[in-house]
Amino acid sequence: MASATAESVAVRPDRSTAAPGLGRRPGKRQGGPAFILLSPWIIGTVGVLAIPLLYSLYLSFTSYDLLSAPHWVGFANYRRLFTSDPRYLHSIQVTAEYVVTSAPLKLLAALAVALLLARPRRGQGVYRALFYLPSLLGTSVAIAIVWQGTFDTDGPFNGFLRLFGIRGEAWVSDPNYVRWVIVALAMWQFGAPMVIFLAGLKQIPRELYEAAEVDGAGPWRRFRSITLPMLSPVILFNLVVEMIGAFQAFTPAQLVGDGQGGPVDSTLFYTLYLYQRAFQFQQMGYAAAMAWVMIAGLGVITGLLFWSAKYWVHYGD
Amino acid sequence: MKRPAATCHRTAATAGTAAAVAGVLLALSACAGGGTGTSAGGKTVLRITWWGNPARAQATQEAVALFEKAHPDITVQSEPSAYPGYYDKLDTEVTAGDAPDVFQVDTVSKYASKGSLADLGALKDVLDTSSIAPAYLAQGSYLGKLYEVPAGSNPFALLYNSALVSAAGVGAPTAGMTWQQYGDLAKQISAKGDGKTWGAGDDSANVQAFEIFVRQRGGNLYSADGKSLGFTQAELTAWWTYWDGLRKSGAVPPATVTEPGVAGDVTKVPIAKGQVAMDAYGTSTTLPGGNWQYVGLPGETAARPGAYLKRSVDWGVYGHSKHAKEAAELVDFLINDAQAGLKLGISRGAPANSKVLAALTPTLSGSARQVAAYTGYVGKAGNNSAAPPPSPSASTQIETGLFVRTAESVWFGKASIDQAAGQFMQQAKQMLAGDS
Repeated sequence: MASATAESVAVRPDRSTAAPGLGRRPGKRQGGPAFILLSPWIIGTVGVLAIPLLYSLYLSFTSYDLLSAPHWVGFANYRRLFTSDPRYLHSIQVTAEYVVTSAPLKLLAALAVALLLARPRRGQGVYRALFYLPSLLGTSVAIAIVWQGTFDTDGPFNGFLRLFGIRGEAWVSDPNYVRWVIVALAMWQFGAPMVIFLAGLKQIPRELYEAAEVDGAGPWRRFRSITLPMLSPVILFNLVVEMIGAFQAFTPAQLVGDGQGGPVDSTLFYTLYLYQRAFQFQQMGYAAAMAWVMIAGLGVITGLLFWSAKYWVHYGD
Repeated sequence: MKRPAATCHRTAATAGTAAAVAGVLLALSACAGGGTGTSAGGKTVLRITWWGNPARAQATQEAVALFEKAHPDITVQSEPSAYPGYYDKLDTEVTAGDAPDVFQVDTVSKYASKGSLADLGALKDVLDTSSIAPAYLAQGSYLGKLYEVPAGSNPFALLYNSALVSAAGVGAPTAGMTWQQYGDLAKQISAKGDGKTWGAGDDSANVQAFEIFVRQRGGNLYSADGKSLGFTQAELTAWWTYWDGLRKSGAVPPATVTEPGVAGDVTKVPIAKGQVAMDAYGTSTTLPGGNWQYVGLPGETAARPGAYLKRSVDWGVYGHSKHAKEAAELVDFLINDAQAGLKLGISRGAPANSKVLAALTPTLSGSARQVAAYTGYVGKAGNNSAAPPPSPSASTQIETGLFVRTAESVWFGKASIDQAAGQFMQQAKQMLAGDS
């Protein structure tokens, strides 16, 4: 994108030149204004992205407490992660369990609502907006706090259950349940994948359904043999996005759990543990190593998803 | 991406660009520098932060307002906070070199060892500590130098809700009970309750109560040099076994009732919510409601009292403060000024300053009076023993993290008592050695 911008700026005065390749030769001079115009982007990318990124890679090989200068320790941080930090391995387990439950459940909810909303009906814009609303609110700190209160032992959710004579559990204080409260919070924010599913559903040609109906296919068969395959590229996209998002979940663990990973480390998400290491224990090098392992892990998992695509994603050609 | 790079010969134009870019960067950094200025219209601006409940926040702000009135050339920005997250924020500000000039603190070695606290001995011209007992000052010292001044006292106590106790028709807990008698009393109160109130709070994850317990056995949380633990695994196992028994017999509430309060939020602890009649608790935090009575913890004997004149929290001056002298004046005002003392009351426990305490006591009533009386009681010979040495810097990690975590793993059946105690000992050792 940036190079495109640069080129159009650089080339414009030389419109008369036939071949754009030749036009760049005298472009020595035009590089200047291009760089000035690009400078916000360059400063942003280099200063806010590239330098911190490379610096964090460097820090991951050091021991650094912020107060004294970092000193090189080689691969010691990485070694310690996998050999002598049981809490780290536990945080991977907690996060993995969260990802494999929350991402598919959220997509299911999104797809179900999208299917309902895809049919033309009066006021559908209003419905879509209403169903999208939780996603706008859901990532906020306030909602996470409200969510915790809702599922508290004497919160509204247990009050609701009492109407049916059910004695609710201490959802957020019990290490066996708190994770599901967080998964429910994620599911509730199905708006973004829902909108994408809606767009995908609109792309499916009506003729396919009509032809199938003529052939006597029922609604389930039509869903299985038309909707799902035609939607599979969108499903892949949503799956990748939601999976990466779920791996990075921090706010719900910090606020719905007790903020320390408790009770009994049941909400010790990867990012929360990273935050603890960095900002509570001041082990920036160790935390940086954790971040880089996470990036590598996400890369591998995303790669596997794309690789698996050839078995289940239908690109229609 | 490559194309513009190809045009990147050294020409006047690119040099100009570089200058322009540098100019923008300079402008940006100039903006960033603007926020930390501490002078507004010739006035010195001090920042002060502390954690605590709204009552403490209000009392402190009123005292700070008195200071501002007495020092028209100084403006003080108050930044009150709740305990959860307080040290995270402070640590981040300290590492960014932008901590408040005065902050409430209770772990001296962690900050003093890194130069983040000012040596208050060097500021003694403006900061008078002569009315504070040496036993308190020792708790704010590190390697023989004073870095923190105690803001109040916090001898640990057995707190009970007299309404709940008398409703159960049993005698009130008394000083000198054994732990066994305490458990039995709790069981009796639970039995009279409606299933939603219990006799006592579950203190198995309460490290301060555990500290008294090990001190009654001649130990401490840490060894004198702060490099190892000052108690044995057997003592920890005994502690958790005691509470496990009370939990199973219904003397204390189930884990899910206790859990919301362990992170340190005063409004969520069972005793404050009226769910339990008795609990081990500090005296520096005023609980909502009125009927609180304070007695010594169970297991205390004149031969080996576990209680000590514990300071509640300290005031420290930031080591890199640009206004250390003014900051020390503020601390001096908060701990020594009689009017400030009346405003502050017992919001940080009974004042550590004996003169302020004497002036304050006649004005107190209700629970506040109880706190002052109990503090006086602990101060008498035979009711306290020498304060432990300052905690090592890993203490926060061990006490608020590891201790709670391992205790909870017992509550929720994730580990046996022996396993949990073993994990605690092993991980605490790693943390004290500084490699975890």
